[in-house]
Amino acid sequence: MKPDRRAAAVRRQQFDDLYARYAREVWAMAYARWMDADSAQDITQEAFLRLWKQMEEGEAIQNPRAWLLRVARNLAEDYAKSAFRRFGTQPPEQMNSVQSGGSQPLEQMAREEVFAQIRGLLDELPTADREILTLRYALECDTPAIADALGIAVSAVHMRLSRARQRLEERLTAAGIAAPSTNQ
Amino acid sequence: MTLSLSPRFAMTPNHPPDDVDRWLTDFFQAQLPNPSPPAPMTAVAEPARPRRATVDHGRLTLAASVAALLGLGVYLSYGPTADPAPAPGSGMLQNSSANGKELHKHMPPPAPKLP
Repeated sequence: MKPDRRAAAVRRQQFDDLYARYAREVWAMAYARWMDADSAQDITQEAFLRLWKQMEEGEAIQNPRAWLLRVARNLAEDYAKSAFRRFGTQPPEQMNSVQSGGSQPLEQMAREEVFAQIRGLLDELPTADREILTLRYALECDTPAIADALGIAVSAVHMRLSRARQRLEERLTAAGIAAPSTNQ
Repeated sequence: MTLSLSPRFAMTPNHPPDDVDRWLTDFFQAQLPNPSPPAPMTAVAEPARPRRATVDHGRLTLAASVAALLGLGVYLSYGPTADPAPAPGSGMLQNSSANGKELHKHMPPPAPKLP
């Protein structure tokens, strides 16, 4: 294999490794902004394409994870300006029907109904709350991993996560999804 | 926004109403793309040499074609410059070894001169 071809293969392998390691976190960051799985996937793909471009141009990235998360956040903000976002084609209720899980139709419909309510409640929270909740519940990240992803201290993660969860719990309770907590 | 949850679903045993963590886990897990989509297709940069070789090959082919056309045009314009050699079997002296002197021997004598 010739040197230039070998270098391209090595670069591609590095890129695939980075995608395997960080794609879910990038997706979570984008999802937390828009609460839309398809948009989050678009943003994830775009973030990694930009990473690939950087790699092809020989730009050294010291911390690919932090770079990707920062780009994903910026792309998520810019996404509001895109035509796709402005003229979205599906209501949030349909966006929820990602997995059927083999449930019965009525149970599935009820589940989708609740999910749509949860989505609406999450939309009312600040983006920072959604980010930390997405990392915790979608990716099941532990506290140090969340701290690493968000670039904050572990103690700050504890505080933010507790507050975000509390705010959401209040809304879930008010909506009748969750029963009032006994320790309030 | 008015939100309400049907009592039937709220009583589902798998989802105790006060289990916020479980609801959130179920919700977020359902949003995750499953299976994870593949990495975006990135065009691996091919070395420049094969591309140049392809271009050169095309140019050579074009030049050869033009040269052949010009040559044919010149040939057709001026035509053959010399008589072609007789084809084998078409000549009168085929297989003959006679030269001028021998031919003279076999020729009839000249007619006598009339007074």
